[in-house]
Amino acid sequence: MTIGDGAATPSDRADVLIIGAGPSGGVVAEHMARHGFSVVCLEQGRWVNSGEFPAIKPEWELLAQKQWYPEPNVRGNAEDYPTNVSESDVSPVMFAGVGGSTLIYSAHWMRLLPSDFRVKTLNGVADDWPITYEDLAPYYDRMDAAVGVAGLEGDPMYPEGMVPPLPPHPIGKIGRIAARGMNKMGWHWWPSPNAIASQKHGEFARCARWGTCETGCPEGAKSSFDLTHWPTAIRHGARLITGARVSTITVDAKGRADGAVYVDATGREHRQKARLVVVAANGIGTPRLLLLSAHGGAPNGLANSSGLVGKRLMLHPNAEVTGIYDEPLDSWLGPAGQAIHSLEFYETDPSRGFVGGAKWQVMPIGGPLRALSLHDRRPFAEKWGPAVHDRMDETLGRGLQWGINSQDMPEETNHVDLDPTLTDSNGIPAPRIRYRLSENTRKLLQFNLDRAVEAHEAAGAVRTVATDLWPEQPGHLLGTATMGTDPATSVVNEWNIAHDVPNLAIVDGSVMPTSGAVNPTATITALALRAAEHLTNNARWQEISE
Amino acid sequence: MTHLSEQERHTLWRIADVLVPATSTRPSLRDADPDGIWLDRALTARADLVGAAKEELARFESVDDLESAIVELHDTERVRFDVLATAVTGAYYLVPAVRELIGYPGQHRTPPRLEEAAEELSDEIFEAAMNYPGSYRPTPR
Repeated sequence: MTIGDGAATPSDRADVLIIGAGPSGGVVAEHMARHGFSVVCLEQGRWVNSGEFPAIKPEWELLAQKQWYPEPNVRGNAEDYPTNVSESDVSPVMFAGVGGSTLIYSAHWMRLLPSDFRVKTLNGVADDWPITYEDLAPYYDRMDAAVGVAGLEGDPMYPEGMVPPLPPHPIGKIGRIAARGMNKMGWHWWPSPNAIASQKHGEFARCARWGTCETGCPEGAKSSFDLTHWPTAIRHGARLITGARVSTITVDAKGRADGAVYVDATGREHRQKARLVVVAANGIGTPRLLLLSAHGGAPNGLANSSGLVGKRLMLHPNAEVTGIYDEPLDSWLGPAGQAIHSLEFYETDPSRGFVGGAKWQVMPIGGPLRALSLHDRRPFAEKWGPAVHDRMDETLGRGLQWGINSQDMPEETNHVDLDPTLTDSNGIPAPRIRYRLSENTRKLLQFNLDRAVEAHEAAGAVRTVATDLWPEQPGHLLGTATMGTDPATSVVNEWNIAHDVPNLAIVDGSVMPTSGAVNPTATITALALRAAEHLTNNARWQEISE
Repeated sequence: MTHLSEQERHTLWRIADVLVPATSTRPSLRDADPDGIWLDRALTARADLVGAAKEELARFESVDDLESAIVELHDTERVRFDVLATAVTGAYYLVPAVRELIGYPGQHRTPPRLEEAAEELSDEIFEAAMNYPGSYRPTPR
């Protein structure tokens, strides 16, 4: 399906071809179309109507286990591609469609901290970014405004100047109880920023506290990028072609990107020519596509003279501790979303025995099936039979979760390549993920799990249930086409342009040299906006394909 | 749509009597959902489990000591157990009367009062957050 000028198979040469209509693709499309460039975007998924979201159905929890599950191998949609995760501790989470994974993200809108851009300088490991927090801050500000972040100014763990455009959401009973514990411990917490409208904001409705953000917002209050950017991009002339799965980025005689080959929903192959190609296919899809695009001049993959395409995969391994309290917390109430967050253990402290840290966030629990699942590790007689009713009474609406989003370091052994046998529904090789938790990450997770138990105990929890590692969370796909100044040790430069291919930009999470420990969509889109502005401002000098 | 035969539904009800039995305050699944309406809705939502559920129900159809068999399945074959447990609990906790008994209103619109966020941050709880002495780690330019 084509939205825009109605052409089903555009063969005209576009100024800009964007691959992927997720958040970063949407940002680039909106910016460049607004500035007069002809933009075509190829997206393998489709538009998802908010009426399809399962929140309004009593079966919401059941539907979230399968059709709306975040891991594509479980969903099994034809527009998703499968991933081989047999050698991975964590399964990448993503969603193919207009808006990408923001359709099912929890909209925790967090900025990296200044130290995240200087990991090598401060800690002696990994890399520094070629840019600083101060370089990115103006783009964070613009993205905050574009998505309508609801939050509260003054978080002491951030530099001054971060002013969310909308007031915060209520932190609710779960936030207040958790804060009570943090105060007893003397630990940092702050009402959280969310890309969820706390007031009516432009086209966005005011949040009505559905607790279903991670299966789509039925209210139209969550800033998914099918709503924030694509309508404007299309109004400015961008052509968005859905059901278009790119198999190869093509190059001209000089090795410059000149378009892409894609397969439509019927299996028919097309070519789209372009002067400039922007890849926005996420930290798994982008290296997959670059490796699929190997050619005679780049036998190891497009833009891969460094050998780092697909390497240094970072996934922010998540853990959580749920506290069960002897008081009603209405913990099915949204947004979900984060109520409060803590950066108490974010910065590296060498005395802890590991490098890096974690961001914590309080989230609601959900409905009865989730409440029961918290007791999965108990013996039969303690969960089932007459006990099931006691567990339900003790747990439903009385739990709150401290989620732990951990920093993982870039390691070349954690990587994405092409699976020799597994393919997507079009027969294109699927990605193979090899991701193992390092000893550093394991220590980091255990330290934070122990502290989260303490936080719950201080808050008065009668019981805690820990998940040491969430194997299918959180969908932060980072690091596989890293940014840097040296072409020998990085894939793209500080403006997201491939060192090897002067008219190929990569604008998703794959460019992040280090992961930080905060939810990355704010950073990814700020980087994408910065890259799009650079491309727009420097178009006169931009080398393009023949 | 009816996913299960009459016999299969009766076997599932017997299994539900083990997993989620009737008590003085809670009904059994067979009493809460006598026509199997919510069971069918649950299995429609998890249609991927219907085949596996039917296989399990066939296995347990003529088992006399069902409780022992279900406990053994729980302890030794968790994936198979979870198929049955998902069908049973998925249906049971869909029943409106059961939801009322456990105090779950389901997901629905609950917009907060406009002043609610400000009120929640107007007491000593937020005072401590504002007085937090720590800071981010400064970086060299």
